[in-house]
Amino acid sequence: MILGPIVCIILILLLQLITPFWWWIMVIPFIHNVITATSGRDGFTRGATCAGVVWLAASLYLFLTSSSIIAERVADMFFVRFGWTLIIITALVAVIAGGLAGSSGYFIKAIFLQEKK
Amino acid sequence: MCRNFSTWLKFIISLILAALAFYGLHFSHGQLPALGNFVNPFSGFWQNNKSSDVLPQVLDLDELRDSVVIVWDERHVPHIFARNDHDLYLAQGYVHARDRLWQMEFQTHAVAGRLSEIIGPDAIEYDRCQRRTGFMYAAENALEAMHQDARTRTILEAYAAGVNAYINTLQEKHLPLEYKLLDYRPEPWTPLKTALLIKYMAWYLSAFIYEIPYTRARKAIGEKTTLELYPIIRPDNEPIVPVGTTWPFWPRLPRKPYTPFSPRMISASGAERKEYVPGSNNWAISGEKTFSGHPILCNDAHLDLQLPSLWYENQLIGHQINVYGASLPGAPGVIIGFNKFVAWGLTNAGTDVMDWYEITFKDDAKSMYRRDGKWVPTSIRIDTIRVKGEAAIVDTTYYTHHGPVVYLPEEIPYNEQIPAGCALRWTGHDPSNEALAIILLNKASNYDDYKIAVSLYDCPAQNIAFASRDGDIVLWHCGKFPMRWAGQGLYIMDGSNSAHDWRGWIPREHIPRVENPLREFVSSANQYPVGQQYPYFLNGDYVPAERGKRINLLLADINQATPQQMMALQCDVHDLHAEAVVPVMLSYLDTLKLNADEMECYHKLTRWSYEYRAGYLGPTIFDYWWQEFCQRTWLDDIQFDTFSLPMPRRDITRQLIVKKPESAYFDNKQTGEKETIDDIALQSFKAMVSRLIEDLGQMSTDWQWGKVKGTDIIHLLKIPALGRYRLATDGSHATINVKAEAFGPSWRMIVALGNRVQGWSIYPGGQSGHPGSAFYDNFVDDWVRGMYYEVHFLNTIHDREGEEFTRTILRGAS
Repeated sequence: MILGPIVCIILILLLQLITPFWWWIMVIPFIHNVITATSGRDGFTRGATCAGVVWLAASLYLFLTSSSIIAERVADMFFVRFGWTLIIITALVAVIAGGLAGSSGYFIKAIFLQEKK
Repeated sequence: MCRNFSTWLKFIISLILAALAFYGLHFSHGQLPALGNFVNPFSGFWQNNKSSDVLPQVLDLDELRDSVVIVWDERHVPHIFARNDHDLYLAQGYVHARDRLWQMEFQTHAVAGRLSEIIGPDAIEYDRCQRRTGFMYAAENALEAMHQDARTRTILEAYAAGVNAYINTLQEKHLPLEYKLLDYRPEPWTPLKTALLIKYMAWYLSAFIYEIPYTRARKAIGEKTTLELYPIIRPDNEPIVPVGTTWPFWPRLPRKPYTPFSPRMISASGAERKEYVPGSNNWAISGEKTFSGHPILCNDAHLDLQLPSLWYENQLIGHQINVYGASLPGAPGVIIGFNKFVAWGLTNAGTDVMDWYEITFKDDAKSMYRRDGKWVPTSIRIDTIRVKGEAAIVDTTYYTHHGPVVYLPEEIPYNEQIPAGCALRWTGHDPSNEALAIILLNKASNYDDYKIAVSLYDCPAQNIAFASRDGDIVLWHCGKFPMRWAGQGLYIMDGSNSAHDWRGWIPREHIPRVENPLREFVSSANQYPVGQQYPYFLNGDYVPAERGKRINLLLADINQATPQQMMALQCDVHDLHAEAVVPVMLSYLDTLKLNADEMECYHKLTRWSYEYRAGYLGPTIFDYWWQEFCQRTWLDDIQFDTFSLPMPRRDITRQLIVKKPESAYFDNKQTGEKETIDDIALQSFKAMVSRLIEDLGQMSTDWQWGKVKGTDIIHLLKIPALGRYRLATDGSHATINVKAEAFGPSWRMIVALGNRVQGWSIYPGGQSGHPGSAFYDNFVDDWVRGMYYEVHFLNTIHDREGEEFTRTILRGAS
């Protein structure tokens, strides 16, 4: 049961490391939930968690190691007070994108299952 | 059925929401970058971090002929060791691109009139102005001249190959932040882009266009008064070439046309004239006046302050070359710097090399224009301005034998200084090879080498100070100057009369120069360069005399000069203008008529030392008073029904106050009574105090000069978060340490020649152009404090081994 999300997270991570595309956080949760989700809410949670975990961990790691200067400047650019709030914003973007893709994944499966019946 | 329907509905809703999220995140909206890409931790802004500060140990660069070693010092200054010129400039191109790629490309896009491609329709009129001005035409001519010389051709091509080698290995995630913000990609670098950058500097340092105000003033107040209020040679000027120098030549000057020309139309704008223009200080002291017995050379280049900084510090060591100093990212070589034998520094010459000629077209086709009573054909140049998100615009520029007609008579110029309906004659459009002059200066080892180098230098005209280990100190007013009749080029010229054309150039052997003078120092501060005896007419935008006078005053006093004294001199903020005028202005005040607040200001001023220090209140009070005083003195004299003339500069007003207090200019013509200087002084003093209190509250530390004026260093995209604002700096636009709102010493350098050359430098920025780097703006605070860094002048790659220097080996293909 836990294996599914772990595979999903690892896949997102790998694809993000080797390609510059951001939308893997939608594509992978979508496919993942076509396979595993049990309800729309479940799809959202799984998608949001997988995408959110990857982007949260990555931005947190970067912020703590080498990206604090740029985070402060970009925060300033977007009229946000503190650089670390960008970690939350980044994770939030991933949660929304991954979650919505995840629930769509479940519902497309639901339709197929229904049509079969 | 019902369940079926609800599943479909949920599916559609969730799909729409997911599609909306994708749409919202994948595309840019207005000024916002595409958020999904931008915040993606794996390739968005998060990757524009300090990783660019981590230097590789080994890099493979196939284009190299041999291996190159770069030693990076603790300030991220590269010292590039190569075995041949090709590799040296290739590596310089690579390093410039590594630290400053976005800036290099953006600046050259801006010169070429290509900003609409990346910014959108807002930049169209700017781009059109750039195209019409003929920057591409100028750069193409320059490139041809640079290609005709094998040396510059090799260097420019190697430099471009170095930039491209970097671009080709650039990963998406490491694209500079600004590319991600504006969502575009770098294109290959070419020698033409270097030529464009040189033309950008040429325009910036020679386009002081005052034909409209001068022409208008001549019509409104007559030529005599015009030249009294707006003189070419400023009052109390101390020329670069000491007074009394004789000129052993009697040139045949072109004859002034008998009939004066009055242009048909003068567009409504163009009255602005700034108190300050891009300028600089440079001086060299002979060994007779230094502690070490060897010459010292100093230079600080005053320019608009920007981030990423205009300058990039580097050392180039190769075959018969070892030079250190400031380079321009985008161009090979060192612009201001030194080597073991010589040092040189630049200030802007200010001499006018740009005239405007009113053109008479035969008809609306604009295919013919009048010249000496005949119709002669124009040529055209067609430009396509590509616009982000919109259709491209095709634009036509008409060229005459003078140059391009930048704006047609019926058009409204984007740059308000440009007179509509006029053709531009500019030395910047002519073929020239300034790059070669710079490269030869980099390799110079004595005065003879300097002479050869600067004789190739055309535009932008510069005062090039020079000192050698041999003991020579010299300063030439270098450039290609048109030979003019007196007054030529001051006003809009007649484009249909060849008597108004430029007739040849001032011979190079006649240009103003000073060599090893008796006073044992040479100096320049953008002033008019010569005394009355000089036989040629020089027109130009020369700055008021105070800064140059102050430099000469202090240098004359020095006998055992040390580099530390020179630092203090570059940071001097004593204002001779205030010293001359404040006591006199105060003496005209009737103190019995002042209230308590006003008396407090009065006392502050009487105790002021005329130094523009950030913590002082005196400069603020005087600055406000001066504005009020000038407005009350001049506005009634320079405002006319449909236009106004520029405010005469501070030195003209000062002359009146000190020498002609009875002048009729002090009378306000708009009132029935007759005002005197006493009235103006009192009125403006009272107005000043109430405005100060209104703006800043009761007298407090909020009135400090550094807080009121502040200095800004502005990012090229004007994004506040990427610039530095309200820096509490010392100085004003009249002091040696020049500071204005976003203007000041962009590069400071002191070089002590001798058996072992020593240098000190600083500039308001940092070596890296990456806002996420620790080296982006790390010099700024020290610059504000007036500090310097001693530079590491290396001779071999083993120098200073074991220190915190990093070494990068660039390996060639073999």
